[in-house]
Amino acid sequence: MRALLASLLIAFGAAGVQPAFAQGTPFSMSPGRPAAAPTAPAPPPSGPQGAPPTAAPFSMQPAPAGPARSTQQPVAKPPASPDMAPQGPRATNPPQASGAPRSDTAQLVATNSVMSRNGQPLERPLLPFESVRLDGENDSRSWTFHLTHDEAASGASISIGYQNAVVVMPEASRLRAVINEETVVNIPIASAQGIQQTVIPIRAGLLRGGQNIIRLEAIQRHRTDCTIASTYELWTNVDAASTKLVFAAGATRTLRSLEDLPAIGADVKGVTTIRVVAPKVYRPEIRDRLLRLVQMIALRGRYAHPVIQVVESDSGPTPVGTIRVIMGIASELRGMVAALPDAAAVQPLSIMMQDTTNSPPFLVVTGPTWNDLDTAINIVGTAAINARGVERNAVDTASWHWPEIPTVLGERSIRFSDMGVPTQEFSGRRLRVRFAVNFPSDFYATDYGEAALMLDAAYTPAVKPGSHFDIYVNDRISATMTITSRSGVFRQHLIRIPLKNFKAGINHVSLEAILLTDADERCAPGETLSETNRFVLFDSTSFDVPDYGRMGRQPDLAVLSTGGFPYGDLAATFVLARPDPLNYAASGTLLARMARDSGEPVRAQFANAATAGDQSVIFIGTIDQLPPGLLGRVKVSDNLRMIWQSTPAPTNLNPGGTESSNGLLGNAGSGVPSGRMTLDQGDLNSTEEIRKRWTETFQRRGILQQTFDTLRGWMEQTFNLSLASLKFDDATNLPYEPPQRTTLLLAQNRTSGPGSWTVVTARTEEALAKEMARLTSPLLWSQVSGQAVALEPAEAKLDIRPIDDVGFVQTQPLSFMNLRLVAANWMSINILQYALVMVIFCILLGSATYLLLNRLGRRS
Amino acid sequence: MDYPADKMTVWLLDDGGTDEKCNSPNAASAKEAQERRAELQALCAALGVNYLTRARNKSAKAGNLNNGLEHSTGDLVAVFDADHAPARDFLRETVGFFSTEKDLFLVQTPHFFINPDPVERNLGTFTTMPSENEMFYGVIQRGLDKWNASFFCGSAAILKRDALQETNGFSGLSITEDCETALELHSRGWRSLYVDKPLIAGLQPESFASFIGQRSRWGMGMMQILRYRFPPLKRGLKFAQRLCYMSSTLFWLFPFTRFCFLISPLCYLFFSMEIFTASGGEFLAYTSTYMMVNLMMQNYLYGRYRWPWISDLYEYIQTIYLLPSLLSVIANPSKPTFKVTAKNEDMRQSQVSELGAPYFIVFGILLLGVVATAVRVWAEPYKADVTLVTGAWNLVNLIIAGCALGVVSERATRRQSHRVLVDRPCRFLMGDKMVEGTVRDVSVGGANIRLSQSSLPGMKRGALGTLEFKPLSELPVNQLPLEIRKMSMDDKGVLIGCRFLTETPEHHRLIADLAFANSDQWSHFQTRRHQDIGILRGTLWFLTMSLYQTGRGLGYLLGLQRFGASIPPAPAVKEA
Repeated sequence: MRALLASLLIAFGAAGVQPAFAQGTPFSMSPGRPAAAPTAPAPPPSGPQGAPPTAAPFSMQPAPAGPARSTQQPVAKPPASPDMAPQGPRATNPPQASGAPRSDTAQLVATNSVMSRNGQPLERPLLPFESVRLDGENDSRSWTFHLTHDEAASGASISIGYQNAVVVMPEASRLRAVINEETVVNIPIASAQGIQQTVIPIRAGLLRGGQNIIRLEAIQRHRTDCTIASTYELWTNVDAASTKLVFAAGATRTLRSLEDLPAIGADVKGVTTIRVVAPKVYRPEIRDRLLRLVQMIALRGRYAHPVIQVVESDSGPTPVGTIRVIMGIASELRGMVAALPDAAAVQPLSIMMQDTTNSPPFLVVTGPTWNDLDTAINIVGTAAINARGVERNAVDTASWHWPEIPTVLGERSIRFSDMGVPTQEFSGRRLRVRFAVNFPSDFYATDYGEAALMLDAAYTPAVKPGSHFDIYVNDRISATMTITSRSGVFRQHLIRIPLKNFKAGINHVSLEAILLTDADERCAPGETLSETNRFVLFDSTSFDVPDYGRMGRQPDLAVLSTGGFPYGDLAATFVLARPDPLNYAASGTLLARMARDSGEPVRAQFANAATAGDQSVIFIGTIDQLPPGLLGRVKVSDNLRMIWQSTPAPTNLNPGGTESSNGLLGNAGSGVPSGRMTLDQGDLNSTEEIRKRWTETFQRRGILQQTFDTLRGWMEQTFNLSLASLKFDDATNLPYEPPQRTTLLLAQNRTSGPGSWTVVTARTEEALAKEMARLTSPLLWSQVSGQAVALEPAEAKLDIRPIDDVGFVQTQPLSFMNLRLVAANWMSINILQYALVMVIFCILLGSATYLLLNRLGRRS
Repeated sequence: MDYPADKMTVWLLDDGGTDEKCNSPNAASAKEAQERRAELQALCAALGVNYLTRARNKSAKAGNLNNGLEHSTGDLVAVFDADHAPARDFLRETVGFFSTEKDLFLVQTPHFFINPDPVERNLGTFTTMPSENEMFYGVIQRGLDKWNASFFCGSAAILKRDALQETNGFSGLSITEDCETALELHSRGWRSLYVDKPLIAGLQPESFASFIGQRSRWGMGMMQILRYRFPPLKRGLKFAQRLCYMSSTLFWLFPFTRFCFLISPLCYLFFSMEIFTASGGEFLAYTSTYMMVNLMMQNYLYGRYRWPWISDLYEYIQTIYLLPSLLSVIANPSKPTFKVTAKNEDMRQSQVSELGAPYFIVFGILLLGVVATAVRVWAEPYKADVTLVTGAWNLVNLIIAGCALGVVSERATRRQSHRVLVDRPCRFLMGDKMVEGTVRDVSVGGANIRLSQSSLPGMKRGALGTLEFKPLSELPVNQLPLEIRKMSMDDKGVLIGCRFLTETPEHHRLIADLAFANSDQWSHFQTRRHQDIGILRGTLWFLTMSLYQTGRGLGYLLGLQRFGASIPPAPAVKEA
């Protein structure tokens, strides 16, 4: 089906070719919106691909014909309408002349079949993820996008495409888009049948060059039901393909300098592809520099989800959300870049360029010698290098989460106003606000610490006692507080949140207020329409974290995702199994992600094989390419080799890209990161599962045993005490067997020295590159922790093996207070040792008292 | 008394026959005082004891003692209350320390009682459970003694005259000058000693009201000492002594804590005042852990001296009246206005004590608290966890209050004088016949004798006879006339209950020898009671006792005790 469409479009394109593809301007945004069809430039997390992706990008752009050059032509509009076929658009208009897109008609669907003389308007996808889902009675997302000055100066409209649940009442529900603090879109939510697209012009002057902040808000109310459970049925899906910025006719896209790198933006799936073209990539000199360069570019561009592609020769134009980078020694680049400036032969050069042949602009990094090439690479990443070593107090997540997520390095109190949660009055029944905090990699306080939420809120007498606040951390319930009096005001009211469900890295916390009212119980018709405010949450509410123990742990994969890698003084050694483009792509994606998390390039050196002097080593390669014994060293079962070689790669079972396979935003309750205990629904063949099923069905247990088991379960749940934690010896040293359908595996183990060995592996090289791109999506990547992580093929889920054999790494200067907190946490985990220490101390105290009393006072 | 007679003088200090009282304007009391003076003077003359009285009843007991000090000459002064009978070896056990220890001013011995205090009597625990005073005398004073801080308890002690002269006798600002004097002497560098052997036998107050009055005086006195002398900062005391005196005085602040303990759950149950910001589960976890550890520690440290939950009971009983006393002392230290006086000492009827009304009121309030718990759980289910935990707290208070109802329901006691069980061989003479026998128990007024021979002609009620036995001390006479009041038979022989016909002072000596001379019988009795009941059994025992006593108390309130059984005899001090 898709192939047919593709060929149709190519035919169309070939037919009405001319000014459609007027690549007049040197810096134009390349057309070719990647369809939902099998394009592989950036395999998104939902991956509706069937066929394994190929290395060469496949773009929908027809062959560049007849370049009629005119500098001020509007750029082509890519064939887009049939792309929406899988989502079932409301109406597919026949291809119409696109004219100036400055209309606020309800539906605007454009193709490029008949090209007007003005050309097609410039477009830019807005969403940072493949799909953004706003659920509950109120929800919002906020992020930033970059524009060049030229784009900002030209007028633009915003196009929003969304679909909502049937039960959302249009009269009471509104979808808002706020750009730079000004409401631009304010429409009722009324598109249950399919995706509805609205285009609204943005007033001139609102958009600015550089960073612009956009916030999507949805207020939804149920049509009929006033129960709390019904609020979980409300959702609105904002569609990435139809949510975009549409620039005015005549708008040009100019990427003039490195400063405009962030303006590349992302494609419809939220992925920014960095395609590196370098000659003879197998050479180690190229490899080292290439992998450094992609980190610099990712840092400079501040992309949400950078994915690297490596090609030996340029293969066609680049679609939206992709930047082509050409790197190499000036002498070698002459063949690839037609108009290489002469300065390249004399000095290091990092500039945006454009071919003479109307191709989109690309970044050229070159120099006469290898040293100059290094300097040129450093030019790209100056800001990041200069800020090296500074402990930042926020993570740069601007392109997918605004405001930037604060990093809590010690005692800190963060107000809601600083985390993007404004003061809000609420008239519904379930208010939810979300925020995120980041903990550094040496966060070691999950069993001991307690954070506090100092709540500033007020509620009217309509709210009955029995209403409660729930606090979810990483989608797990962490704290709850019941309202026990009528009509009160909370002034810095303390809610204690145990740090149990927090982890190193980004943590998503949500505060839910469940409000019970008499009006809701009666639920008169039209009750949900009511605008009477019942509750107000003030943004002076603050989230306070006390000082917590800081101790690095090995092995701990969370260190990769929090910028603390590697521990120790030496740089980490990245060992790439094969010097081929796919391996480079996978490694580059990983490095770019790690660099973006830490805000600076990773301290890394690259090699073909590990040497004895290496402290921390990361192996990247397919299962066949790994040296023997390596799997055993990271405590992964060697059977994996056999299993992966004998079973085929799992095909994608969800071709449609359904909601559940999207990023974890918006799924309240689902998409929970799976610890080891979560049953893998698809993996019914695992021995453990079968064993468990059979024993549970057939085991006959007496009443006593049952009561004992119930009691044991209750103790485990309430107090986190279990017989297993009373064992002295560490947990099993069995090697890890990932679920059978795993496509990508990360595993780490510590060495006898201060370093660690990490392995990244997949079945094939294509899988390695593609799955690594999936894994490094910001929401999925932040869940990586434990000592081994296995990625599910179909859904965005990880199977995480918790750490059982911990070695501690000192990351902070020695201080008594820190050691005290670390010891408290350790003893909370190892309760048997703690009990023994207590007993010993009591014995010491007793004997000391006895000896003392024997000497003092009157001898009796 | 086993002591060289020429080195010992006995003085009887009579404050009931002072000139002031004898010349009182009230004719009846004046006459009574004069008769008393005459009678006692005669007795003293007969026994070879010096009788002393004074002109005016100034400074109550302290003044009396000071008067005695002025008139006597001995180096050491032994003080006994009128109802404390010393054993023969009292001086032998205590005097020696004055030559071995340096700067000793006090040797204190424990107060042992041959009758139950009102709590023990009404609860019926005298023979099984260690007494309340055993905690103080058996554990605390021993501990204080280790740090040279055991203080004078008003009786059953020997003091050094030289030391007392430094303080001008027993003087002080409080109504418990005994402790105050000891404090003063300790601060001057004198030392004290405690001998942990019961060497005297005394009497507890009979009625609940007098018991409360006694405790109230002690509490007020200690508060006055705290206020006027402030032991923690007193010069001259060693650090350990400061701590010890602080402990002794601050102990009496327990009414405040116990009051808060009573009121706190009610604040929540009635008025929704949340005193603790904690969830029900947290509260339960902290308090139950604390209580369990507390009970275990108490059991380990002094399980044999104090059974579980009894401390709470005694505290609660005293709090009701001690709290106002303490408040009045704090408000007006020199002249506290709240006094508890016992008006009716008639114990022949079982009835609710005259001080019993507040206990029933408090019990009623706590019962309302239980009702409030139920109402709250039904009406506010979202707060059920807190409500239930608070309700459980209230229930604990209710159980203690229920037990206290039994305490204030006074059982009648028939005997005016209390029996001591002894087993002394004797001979019963009637006319010219003699029968071997054993004195089973003896009191000041009479004895029970078992005769080996079954019958004797002429033995019937009202017959006169003579008791002959070997006294422990050197006494000229060893025969005691008596009158048979009761006869009965059991499988071991004939039991006769007799009344002593005391005519001469020698007879008094004989009776004292028979009943009080042997201090070992006190030790044996105490040791028999030193059983550790354990936490679990103790709690269950307390619970069942409380339920029974609640019923009994409510029955007394409704006057049902009149339909009850006949009055049981008073429990007696048994030999091992």
